[in-house]
Amino acid sequence: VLGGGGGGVMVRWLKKNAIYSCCVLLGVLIFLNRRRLISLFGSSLSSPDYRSAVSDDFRRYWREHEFILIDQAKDASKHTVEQQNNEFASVVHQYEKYRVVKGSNINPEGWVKLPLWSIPTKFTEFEAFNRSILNLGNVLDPSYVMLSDKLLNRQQCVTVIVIGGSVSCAGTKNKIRKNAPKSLADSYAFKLEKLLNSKFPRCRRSQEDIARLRRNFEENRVRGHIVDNRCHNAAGTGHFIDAVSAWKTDPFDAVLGKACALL
Amino acid sequence: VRVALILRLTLTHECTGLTDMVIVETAVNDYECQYKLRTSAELLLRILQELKNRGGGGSKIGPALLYLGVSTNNKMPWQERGDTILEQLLVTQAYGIPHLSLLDGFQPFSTQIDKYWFNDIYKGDWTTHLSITGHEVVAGYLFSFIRLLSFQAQDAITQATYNQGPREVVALKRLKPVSGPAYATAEEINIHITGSPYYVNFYDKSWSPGLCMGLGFTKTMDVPNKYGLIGNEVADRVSVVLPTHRLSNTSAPSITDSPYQLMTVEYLSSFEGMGVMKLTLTACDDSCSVSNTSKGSATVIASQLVDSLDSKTNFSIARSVQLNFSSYVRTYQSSDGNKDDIRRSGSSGHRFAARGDSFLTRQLELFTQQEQQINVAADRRVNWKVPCGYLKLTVEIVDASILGQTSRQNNKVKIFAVSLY
Repeated sequence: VLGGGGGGVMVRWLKKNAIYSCCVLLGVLIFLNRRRLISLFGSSLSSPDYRSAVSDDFRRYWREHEFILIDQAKDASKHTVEQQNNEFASVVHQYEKYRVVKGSNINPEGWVKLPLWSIPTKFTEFEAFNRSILNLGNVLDPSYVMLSDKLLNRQQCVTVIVIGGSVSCAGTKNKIRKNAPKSLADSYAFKLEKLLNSKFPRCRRSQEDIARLRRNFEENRVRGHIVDNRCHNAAGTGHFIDAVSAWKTDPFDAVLGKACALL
Repeated sequence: VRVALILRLTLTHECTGLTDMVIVETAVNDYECQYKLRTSAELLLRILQELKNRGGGGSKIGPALLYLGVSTNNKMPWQERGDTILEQLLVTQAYGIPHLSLLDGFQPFSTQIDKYWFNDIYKGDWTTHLSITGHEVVAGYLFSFIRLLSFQAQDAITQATYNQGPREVVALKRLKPVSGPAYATAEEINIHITGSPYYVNFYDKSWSPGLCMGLGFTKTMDVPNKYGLIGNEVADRVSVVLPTHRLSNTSAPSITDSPYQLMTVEYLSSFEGMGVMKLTLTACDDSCSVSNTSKGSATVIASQLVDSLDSKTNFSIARSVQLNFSSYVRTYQSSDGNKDDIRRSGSSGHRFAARGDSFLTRQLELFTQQEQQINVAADRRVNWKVPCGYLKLTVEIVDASILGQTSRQNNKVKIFAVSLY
């Protein structure tokens, strides 16, 4: 660009704008090595990228902790099964049981601290996840057995329905905020569908089911795991009691209803 | 191939749902007293459990359920209103349903900075709603939990019953259902499991309100993308006509075997600008126009006042009132053609009530007034007939002074849905 004698011109220009040039060069270097810098100095340098942390650490998280988790969960499950035989005597008694169940999930000693999702509570992310499991439930129920069989053994696609209120609808009262969800695509249901399809990929679905699901879903979704978000703003349990009762007999509902009768 | 597929589906395949899992996140919008929370939670749980899915070995299995708590009205049990996650937990424990509560995972916060993170990053608007990051975290937790459940189930099967084949797995016992005064009654459960309601919803944008007609009420939205049947002034009214027979696929009237009759009206309850509505349920014949009131051959079954203003809260939620007229026995007279004979039997009467309110009827102020009206209606011990079987629900906005309160400037009423079991 500068031609034969341009070298001298460039040097003179750099000397004249030395501070500006250094700043630009430093900025480029920081941008190219931003991930390395963040890992060196922690997330305090910039706002942490929670989204990438969620997806990147899953594999490592489960490889290191799934056996510990299962042991902990077994204990919680036993506790729950014992509890269901008790009568529901009084409100205070129930609250005591609730505390016991929560306590059974809290055992921070001996757990490896692993920074995941960068949640700045006094618990590690692993502890927070375990604390959040209020009840593991009866996983020997046929419904959970079939679900696990589909996901882990048979590699079949699963269909999940989410029913919930405005939180499930990705609602917000302050849409101006940068981090506010803008549409249903920002909801956890949509992100769960992406996670299922990325972590349990290449699932299979029968032609009958695909033919049914085409009635309600786009073509690119019927061949993978589906998370059907049926949220309704301001709706609670009372709303969904009636809505689910109606959906289950709806001849046009492919997932919950009896759409196969009209195929 | 397609024809063969259709034939196979039509002739051999039993029609069932495709749902493998249902995630329930309703804690944030359940703002009721404790007993009602448990009752409604149990009802929904039982309905979902009874949904038949395609299982292995030709058997039918219901979907796997998972309760999720993201936000809640965080109150203690000994206070008037219960913590919804806690109340739902009591039911999910008893039924063996997995329950995940992110709120309990994060809290309590040790520093103000942590609290700030929670409100600013996890919750986008400092209220109950999540930010994009919050949705990411919830999705991650859900995926982790689903995978944990799957591993746990596989582990248990490997140890116990997997070698014996899928039918033995299916034969595993479910946990004992909940029984107790604070939970749903057998009648309530039976209504919702066996019943297939005639359901009219107004929140669906595409639904056309063909069966209703009103003066002042219109199907519109007061908040962007939140539709409903809305009236704004006193004396605005709307009527919704519902057939008492069930609509089958062939559109021919069919009479259900269920002896229970139940109507639910779902409305918006908010802390400002809301009014009082009067619900009137009328049985009418063919000539009963939707614009008429209870005249001629029409008979008023029940009348009810509902205040959709709840000044104790600071949010808007959907609530519902129920009319249980199971005491009316309906028979089908085939000799007279397509006629429903709706006849009242017994003297137990009928009542408007919210689910599970039997314990709290005397505790709630509104119910006292409701009971008075119920008694008035119950004293009309008359037999009445509906030749063609239609019920007309009329919603009318009335002045708040009818409840002994001062008149209000705004009297908005918003109806979400009406269902008839």
